[in-house]
Amino acid sequence: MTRGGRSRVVAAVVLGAGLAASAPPAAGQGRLEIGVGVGAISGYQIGGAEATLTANTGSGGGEFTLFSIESELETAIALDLRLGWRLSRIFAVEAGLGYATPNVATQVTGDVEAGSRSFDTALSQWIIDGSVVVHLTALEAVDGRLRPFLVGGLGYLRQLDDGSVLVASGRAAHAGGGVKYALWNPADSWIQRVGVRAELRLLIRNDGFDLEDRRRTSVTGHASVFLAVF
Amino acid sequence: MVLAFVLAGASPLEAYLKLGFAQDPDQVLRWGGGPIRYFVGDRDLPGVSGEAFRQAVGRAFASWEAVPTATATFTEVGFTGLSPLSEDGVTTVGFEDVFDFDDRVLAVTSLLTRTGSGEIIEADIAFNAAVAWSTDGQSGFDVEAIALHEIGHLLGLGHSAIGETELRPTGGRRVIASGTAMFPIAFSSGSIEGRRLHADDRAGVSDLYPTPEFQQATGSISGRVQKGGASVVGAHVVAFNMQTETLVGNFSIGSEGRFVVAGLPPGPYLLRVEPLDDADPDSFFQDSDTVDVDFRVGFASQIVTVRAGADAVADLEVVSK
Repeated sequence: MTRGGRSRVVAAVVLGAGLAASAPPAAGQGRLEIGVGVGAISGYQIGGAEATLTANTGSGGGEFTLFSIESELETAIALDLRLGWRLSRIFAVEAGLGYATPNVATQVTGDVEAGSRSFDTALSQWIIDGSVVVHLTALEAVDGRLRPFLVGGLGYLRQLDDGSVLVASGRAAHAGGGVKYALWNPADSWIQRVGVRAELRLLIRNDGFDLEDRRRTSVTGHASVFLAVF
Repeated sequence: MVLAFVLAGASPLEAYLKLGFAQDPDQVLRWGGGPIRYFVGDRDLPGVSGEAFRQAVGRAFASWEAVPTATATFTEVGFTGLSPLSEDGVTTVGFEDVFDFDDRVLAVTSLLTRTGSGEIIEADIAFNAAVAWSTDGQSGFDVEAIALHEIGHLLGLGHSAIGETELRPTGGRRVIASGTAMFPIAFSSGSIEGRRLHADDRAGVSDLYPTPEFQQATGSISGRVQKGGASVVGAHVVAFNMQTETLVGNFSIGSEGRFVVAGLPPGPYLLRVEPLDDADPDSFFQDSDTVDVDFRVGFASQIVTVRAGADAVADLEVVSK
């Protein structure tokens, strides 16, 4: 599954590069796009675990649960830095760096001696990703100022605890879409466009901090300002 | 040389007593080198032939030897008619008729150690011949399970407290569940649940006899246990690996109530601290008068991340009952 997904993305990149050679970006678009934004990453369950002992045969045998835990990576504010290179009027490639400090909320339940407890642990989370952006030029509006786009790619996930100790690393595939709105198109400047961008992504994580090593899905929403130059 | 006894079996009342080690508490008891050579008593008891006993004991030794992160190895020399408790420079595992210990004790391990270095030079395991034994799990206490526990002592391990018990109305304690072969109270007669090693046992033997890979691949958690600013001695601290669901424990000791839980694979851990009230504190500490059992079970306030080859620090605060 994972290998297949990666192959599709690579194919998209190649396709994008091919189109870029045949259709150079339009004047006034800017080849290099720099964006800084803020958003949110939705929380999700990262699984549970049980501390079990071996039960005495006289107690019925099997397992004896000392306590159970359930953990959730809570919704967090995320900062986003993007660097894009426009290959053509339609296609662009982007590199992104995302940072968030999600809280790991852990519930201890059923402790035979302590009952239920809960506590929080802060994580620092970094995602470095690469994306292909497809601008939907046919859907442009407001004199070309409003431009919808689709985006998809792969990233590397790194999660540290509050002592900067690596807790987990993993991969994160994303797919989504959004709009860019040009606020300013200076006619004769190395700055080609200044605008705002809003997007939603579906984020599918493999590995990372997870008690059950399962694939997890979350949603990210971002709003950013961008600057397109050259 | 010093002779010490570890009483570590169960009994009809399923309770243990322990004399403890007459050793410097900072001294680590372990063998100087392997393989550890041992003889097996040749006695037949009702329901357990000498050969069945030898095979059960051999399986227990093999379980310890199979721990991939420890270097302890054993060689069975053969049968012997000697008493297992004779101080003869020969390590012997066998049945003993005259038991000078509490009649509830199933088995005892005696260690002959070199004063100063703590090196074990002889270790004998005596099974109480007055107890009903079994090697097939049908009836009687399981030889292999008790041998597994006693061999842990033979290697230098003390008791672990990962287990739950309840008081019997008639006195003594009954084990409800255990998460280590080194829990001081055995499973019921007829049970073979005690035949396997747990993460706590593997961490313990690997800490005593580590392979180079073990030291590089594991880390530890250390800290202090305090109650209202005062040190707590004898608190049982258990590290729960949230991903592998394994438990490894140790105790807070010394005037500062410090603990170290070692041999932990890297990963996120939850620390649980509990009073030592599931067995007699004498089963764990020679000087049990300082053991504080007046506090509630608690947890560390955060997940603790263990790195390979590193120590993670986490202090624990507990409150009185």
